[in-house]
Amino acid sequence: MKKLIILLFLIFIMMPMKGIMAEELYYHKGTSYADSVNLNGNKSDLNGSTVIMSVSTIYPGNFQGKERVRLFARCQYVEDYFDAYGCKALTGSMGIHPTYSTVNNFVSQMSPRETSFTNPIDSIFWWIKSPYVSATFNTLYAVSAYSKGWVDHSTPTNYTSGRINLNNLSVDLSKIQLPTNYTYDKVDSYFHDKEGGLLGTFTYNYGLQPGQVGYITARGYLEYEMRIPGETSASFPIPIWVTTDEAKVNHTVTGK
Amino acid sequence: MKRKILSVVLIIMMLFVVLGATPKYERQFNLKTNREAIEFLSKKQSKLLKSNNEKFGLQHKDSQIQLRLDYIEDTKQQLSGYLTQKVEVEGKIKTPDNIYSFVGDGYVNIFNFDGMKLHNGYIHIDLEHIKQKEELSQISDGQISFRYDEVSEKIDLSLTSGTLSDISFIPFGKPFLLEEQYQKIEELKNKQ
Repeated sequence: MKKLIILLFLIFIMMPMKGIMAEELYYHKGTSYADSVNLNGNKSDLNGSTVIMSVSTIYPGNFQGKERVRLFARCQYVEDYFDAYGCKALTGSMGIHPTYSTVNNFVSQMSPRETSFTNPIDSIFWWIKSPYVSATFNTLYAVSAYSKGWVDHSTPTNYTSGRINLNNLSVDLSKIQLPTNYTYDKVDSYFHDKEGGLLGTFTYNYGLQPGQVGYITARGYLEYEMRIPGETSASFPIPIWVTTDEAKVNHTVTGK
Repeated sequence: MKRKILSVVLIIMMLFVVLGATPKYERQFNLKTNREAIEFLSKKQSKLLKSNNEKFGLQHKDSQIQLRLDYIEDTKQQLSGYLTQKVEVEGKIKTPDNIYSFVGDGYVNIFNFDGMKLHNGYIHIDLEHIKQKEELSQISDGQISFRYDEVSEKIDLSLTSGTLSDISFIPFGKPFLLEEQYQKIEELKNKQ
């Protein structure tokens, strides 16, 4: 009985540490954006990017890698493009898959996390080492910013890739949007010490010996809802739901 | 006697399993294209209509949409401000010269305000159209958003297909929500 009480006491003491232990150092692997092209393959008259994606990875050498894909909104350019207003992010979708390696099938056991119905998810956090943040503050603290929504995920039966969809969201746009006076590559520094972005976290096993290299591609896009003013001030707004093109980051994973 | 009771209980349990597996609530809609809205956007040279002709033919302005919505009852979630649940859909777009079928699933949020019982739905669909996808992508072929007031039975529906690169847009029914009502929806959605 005494032993049981001591054990319960130890568990109780350890519980608050769970959050602290969840912090991990991720390495920034790239930031990219999507704009759009017209039907002839030329750049469209969009004035800028429509979605920004920042990708960070950890692969500590124990053959298990983790990848975080964060998406950020660029509503302003989309509103301009369609003469619309009232933009909000409705869906965020992100996925990762292996693209190339001399080692066949180097990724396995892909596992998207957090798949249940969500009320606020505000307790997932991690640390990122990023070249875009000054040396003094070379880590980022980030929290999932969406307040309500649904999460679902898909993995093929061979578990070599994964996708997480955040659907039917209600999000405070200021928490996920990079203002247009910042270029896309400033997204990590802009959101430094702020809650920000929509995120997906993936884990996977990788079968690489020391020095062997594999490539992983992360992809992501957003869907926005906005309205077009009716023909006269008295007429009803026309609601639209639009999908951005995909942002992509291709990066290496090296066996240690 | 015991055996009889046991049999009855077993039958009731089996009925629960069969009938209660995925309880659904069905609604069907049949709507015509909102021609005025397409002409208005066309006059404005809106990029929303960029691929309409390519995907749905020149006569898409005179089409209609038929859809059946299955509300999945056991996915209902009451949040502060509104009720939300999953929905499955199947239907077709009939233009004068073709029929394009679709299936999909998504979510409906139900709000009560201004004397309305408003269903606001967002559904991703796999949609047939003339222009096939050029590369494999995880992005769905189409999206349907709709606003349906159960009290007045007014409904409007927006169908988009493709990404910004090759977007097409067909509105069905007549929009009936005022700007302040959209803002009310936002307020209710963001209520903590």
